[in-house]
Amino acid sequence: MADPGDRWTVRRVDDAAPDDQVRKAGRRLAIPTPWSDVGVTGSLLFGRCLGSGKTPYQVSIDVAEPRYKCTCPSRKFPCKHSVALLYLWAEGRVDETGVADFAAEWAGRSAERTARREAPPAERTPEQEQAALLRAAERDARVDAGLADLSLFLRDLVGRGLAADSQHRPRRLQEQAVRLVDAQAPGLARRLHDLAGITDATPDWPARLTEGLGRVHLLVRAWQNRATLPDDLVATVRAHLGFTLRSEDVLATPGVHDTWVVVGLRDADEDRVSVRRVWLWGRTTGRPALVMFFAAGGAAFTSNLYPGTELDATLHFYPGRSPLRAAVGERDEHARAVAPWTPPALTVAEASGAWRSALAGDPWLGEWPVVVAGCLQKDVATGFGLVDDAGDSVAVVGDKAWPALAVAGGASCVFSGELSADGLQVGAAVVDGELVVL
Amino acid sequence: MIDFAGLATAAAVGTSTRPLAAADLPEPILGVVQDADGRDPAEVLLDAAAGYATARRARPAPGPDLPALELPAPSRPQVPDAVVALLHRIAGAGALREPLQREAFAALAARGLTLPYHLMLPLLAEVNRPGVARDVAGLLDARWRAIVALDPVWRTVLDRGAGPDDAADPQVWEDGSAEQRAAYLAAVRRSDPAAGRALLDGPGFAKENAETRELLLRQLTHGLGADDEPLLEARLDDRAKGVRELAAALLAWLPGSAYVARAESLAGAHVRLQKRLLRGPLTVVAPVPVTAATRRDLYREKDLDNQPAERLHLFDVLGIVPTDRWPSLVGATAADLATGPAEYLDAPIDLRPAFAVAAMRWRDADLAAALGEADPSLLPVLLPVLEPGLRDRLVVDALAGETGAQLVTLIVPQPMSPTVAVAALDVIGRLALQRDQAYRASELLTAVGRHADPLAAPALLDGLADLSGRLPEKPPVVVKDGIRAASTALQLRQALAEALLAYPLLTPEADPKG
Repeated sequence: MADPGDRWTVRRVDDAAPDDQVRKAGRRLAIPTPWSDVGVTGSLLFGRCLGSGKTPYQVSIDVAEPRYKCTCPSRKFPCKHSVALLYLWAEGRVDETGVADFAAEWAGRSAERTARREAPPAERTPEQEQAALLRAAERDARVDAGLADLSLFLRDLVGRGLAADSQHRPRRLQEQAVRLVDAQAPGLARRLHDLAGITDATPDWPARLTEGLGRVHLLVRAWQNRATLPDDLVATVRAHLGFTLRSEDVLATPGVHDTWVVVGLRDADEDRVSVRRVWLWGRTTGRPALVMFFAAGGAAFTSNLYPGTELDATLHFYPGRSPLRAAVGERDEHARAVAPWTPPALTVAEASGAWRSALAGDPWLGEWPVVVAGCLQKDVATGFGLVDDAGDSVAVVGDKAWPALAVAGGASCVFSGELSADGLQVGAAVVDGELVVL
Repeated sequence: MIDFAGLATAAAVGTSTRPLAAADLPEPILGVVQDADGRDPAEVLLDAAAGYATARRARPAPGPDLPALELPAPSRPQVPDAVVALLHRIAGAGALREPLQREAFAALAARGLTLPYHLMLPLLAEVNRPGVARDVAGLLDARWRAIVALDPVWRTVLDRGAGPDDAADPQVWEDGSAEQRAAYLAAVRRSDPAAGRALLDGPGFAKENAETRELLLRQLTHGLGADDEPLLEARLDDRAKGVRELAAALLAWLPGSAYVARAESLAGAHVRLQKRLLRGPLTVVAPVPVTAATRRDLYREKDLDNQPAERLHLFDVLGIVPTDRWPSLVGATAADLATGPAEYLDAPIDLRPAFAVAAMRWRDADLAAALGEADPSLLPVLLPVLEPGLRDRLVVDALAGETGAQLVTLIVPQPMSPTVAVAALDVIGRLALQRDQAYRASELLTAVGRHADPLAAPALLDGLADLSGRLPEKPPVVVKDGIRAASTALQLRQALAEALLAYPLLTPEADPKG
């Protein structure tokens, strides 16, 4: 039987919809009239929805994964019928019943597919190993060549001056980004693509561009000197350049078992891929982790981690300095709502120290998760800040500052979020032991 | 010494133009520049940029140089989860969203509830949309009002709509917005009309702008009494027409005022009863000439139908004279005068619209009943005065008649009682089956969906389902969509009413904070 505590919130259903159109259509359909055979059994949610045709669409959803199936012809995924059924369930209007035939059939097929997918991969043969090594060496060589070209370009750019011929500078940076994609260094390409967005109209552009180019240069130098660097730093450099690791290789490394609280989630579109970053916090280890999900071509994320839930799981961290990114190994079948939680919170100075330590290990790091306590500040001109009892403060950035203020009011509060040079991007607040996802 | 700004300038100008001297770099940065001597200056600059970049990023940006915010505790309970879910569904209800949200927010405000942040913040983001500021203002508790005041755009909510807490805070009379001051004045008037009047008696009132004067003067409707007459009489000479019109309208509600006495005097001179042989008496009315006095009393001089000013003056007089004075003035009751034959400049005239205004003004239920029976088209004006049972009967009768379809749209501003709503559904059922009446049917469906009493929802939903089944094979799209929209609106409004059953309406007495 499904625990009512596992029932999704309306906000979670909002997030599950692939776009605003489906979200709105789903809400319109979330009325009893078109629905029949609606029920929930365990994590299996199902119902028939009468559309414009005579035959109702059969909707089946495994809310634990989540996985969706609807017999409608929509190319949106999940479709409006699935989203509408989720709204009905989230609003407590779906009763526990015996499973419908069509849903049972789909669940059976789905379980078979999962079993096949989760079967251990076949061992590589020596020939395959040899070929993989050869491919890796070839890629290293391509990256070598690409970064050598980039190094020359950077020297030329700075030698002639960033202001010279500046109207063409973004295009030239963009061209370099394309070449780096060809050279199989997509991570570096993304950094150049971002720098191409800095134009002469960008406030303080010389400083921002100089700083960005300095970081790119540092990555190039680190790659070129990789033979002299420790392995973990080389792994970090490779990750930032865009080398990927097979998840099965990561899962083969020792894991960290804990009850992981999902404290935040952020989606971003990077090139043609949507990236979902899910931030976790270990209850016992006090350790942060980042699990990433990718979706291409407008598809929905297959993320099964949602803020405001926690799960017992073993996380396997990707190698590198300041290890943060992790793959989820063995885990509970179902996540559950976060139990009362009072995480040990850092002061602003301690949080800044944690950020500095992480940055010392990985100078290209974008942000570092922290749990920090303080009161919010607000200045009409400069925005929000968080000040602690010692009077140290940090800027609060991002679109969650107002929700944070609404939740915390003027009282001191524990916030979880990501700290970076720009400030703290809050994602959740802990109020009286309750995690409030913002 | 080259700091980061100097380094950025060098990068912008170019090292070929302005070579970078590594020796000028500060010690920590120089430490990361490898073998500066003899290297390409551009590479030295990039090394230094890398060092500076890491050093600069190591220190997160500080917050503003301000103390921590001090916000009041939440002073209202948040809406229950069931209502949150409903509000989400209303937000996704397309064209129904705006009217249903407005109804829901008014219901929540009347019960002293506020919204959780994930509903309130999107609303605040739309605060410039017409009507949103007013809706939001009613939902703000002390915490939210403090938060809203922090944002220059959101702050307009406080300027445009008064919050409930304003009513209890004397300070807002000194430094609040016009709406806040009006809310305070209204609260004072409710408890002590004289004290409220005293607030307007000072010399400062005349210095307010016309809009504010009108807004404040309007609050005299709370506890309006004979003692207000001198103040209102003085406002008949206000420099703003809106204020003068309002003062005249308020004076016309005071049966013992000189304003009403002037109207009675005109009535005595221009209305008489002519007895006729073998027939009932004839009411003879004469044009009321335009004079400086009638102009000061703001009698109408023109209207959209281009009627003569003297005729409009006459109708205004009939609408102002208290209905119980007619027997002593002309020897007949108002009902007799309104429903009997009348003549104006030797031609018949229908005086019922003028007496309908009087019935409304003086809350004369008998006169309203007589007029409603005689002329159903006057019902929209008379509805607030009619006794509920009679009102519903008259409306149902009217709906069954030929003018029924037109009438429904006129009475929808009122909440539609279950009896009337079911009768309206019958009208819809007739119209929906006539292709040339499809748009009217859709209009009525919208009215029923949005304004019918939620108590009638089960019966109406059954009726709509039945109607849906009786439609021809290819019904007009507007009818099909209208039925769907009306069903959705009724379901949502019924669910909202049920979800709020446990939350009683607040009254000013029950909640001193409004």
